[in-house]
Amino acid sequence: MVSRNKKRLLKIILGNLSNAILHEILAESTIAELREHYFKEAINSFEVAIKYRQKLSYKFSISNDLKSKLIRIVKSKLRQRIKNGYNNLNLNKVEIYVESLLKKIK
Amino acid sequence: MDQIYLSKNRKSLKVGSYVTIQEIKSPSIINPYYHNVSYIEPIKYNIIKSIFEFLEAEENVLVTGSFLEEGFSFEDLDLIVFGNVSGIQEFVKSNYGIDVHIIEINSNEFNKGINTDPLFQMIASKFIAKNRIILNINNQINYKLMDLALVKSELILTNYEISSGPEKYKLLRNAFAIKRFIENKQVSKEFIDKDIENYFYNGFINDFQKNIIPLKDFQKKYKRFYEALFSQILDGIKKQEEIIKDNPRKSK
Repeated sequence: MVSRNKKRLLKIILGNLSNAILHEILAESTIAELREHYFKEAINSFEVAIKYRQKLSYKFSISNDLKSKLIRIVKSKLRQRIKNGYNNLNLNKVEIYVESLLKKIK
Repeated sequence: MDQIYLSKNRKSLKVGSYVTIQEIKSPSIINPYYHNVSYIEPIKYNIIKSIFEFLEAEENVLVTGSFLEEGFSFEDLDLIVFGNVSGIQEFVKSNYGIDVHIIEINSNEFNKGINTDPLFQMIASKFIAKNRIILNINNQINYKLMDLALVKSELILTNYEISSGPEKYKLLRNAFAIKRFIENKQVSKEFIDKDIENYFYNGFINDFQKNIIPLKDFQKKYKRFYEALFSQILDGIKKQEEIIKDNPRKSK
């Protein structure tokens, strides 16, 4: 059973990782010269996720469950935009971003 | 042949003395330009002046942000430098013990920033500059960029229990700045603060910065604001995408 504190930490990690990925993907689809600043925002969110991952025991592995949750969250945020007419968003890239971030956070 | 005249009647320099000729540079006079700043404490003025002197050779330098607010509760000193910034961080830190946050930019990028980015427009709404600068503000709303700019404010709720008051206030201010910007209203810290207090309650910012507002008292109202703003942005994206579809040249 997942303790209350662990649940709270996982929520923060998921929220910040999904925010970092969203920044990256949306920045990719906007004007090149303005995107740099937003990659920095992605790094900020990722650093918060790292900080709270370190509070979890190292025995805890970032499971497939967390990976699929993260993919679901990001895709749902992107789909909401696509449904409202947002072009150039590539859902296929989500898995790649998620895998790359989870590797760094393990 | 160039000639230099030395007067005959002088106390020193005997006839036949060897002399060195050197140009004496007259000290340049810096007259700072104030934009929406009515008062600055003398000690802060001296710091600003020494920064302008240090960066004298650069095209222009703007001091902005919390350093210009009355009192001494600023976090750091925000500088926008049109030119080379090398050495300035060390100069301010070693002389005054103040951290400097620098934006190194050229005048084209600066003009683009104030016209397309609400937070940049807010930063540029109040400053002291080394040289006079004219702002040509003409909001150019790129809704995809606004969507991207709003993403970080989503984290207020996720990180509510782990963030400090000032951290949360910055994210909240970001969302309200975007709102003003897309409604073509002037973006300045004062106007944004007024909007925030009108939306929540009088004295809200003080309580929020002190971090004494429980999540449950904040989240419902914030979510309502955020969702309405997000949907306003999505509508804007839809309209802009349709314009681009009808006229592909506009995307360039």
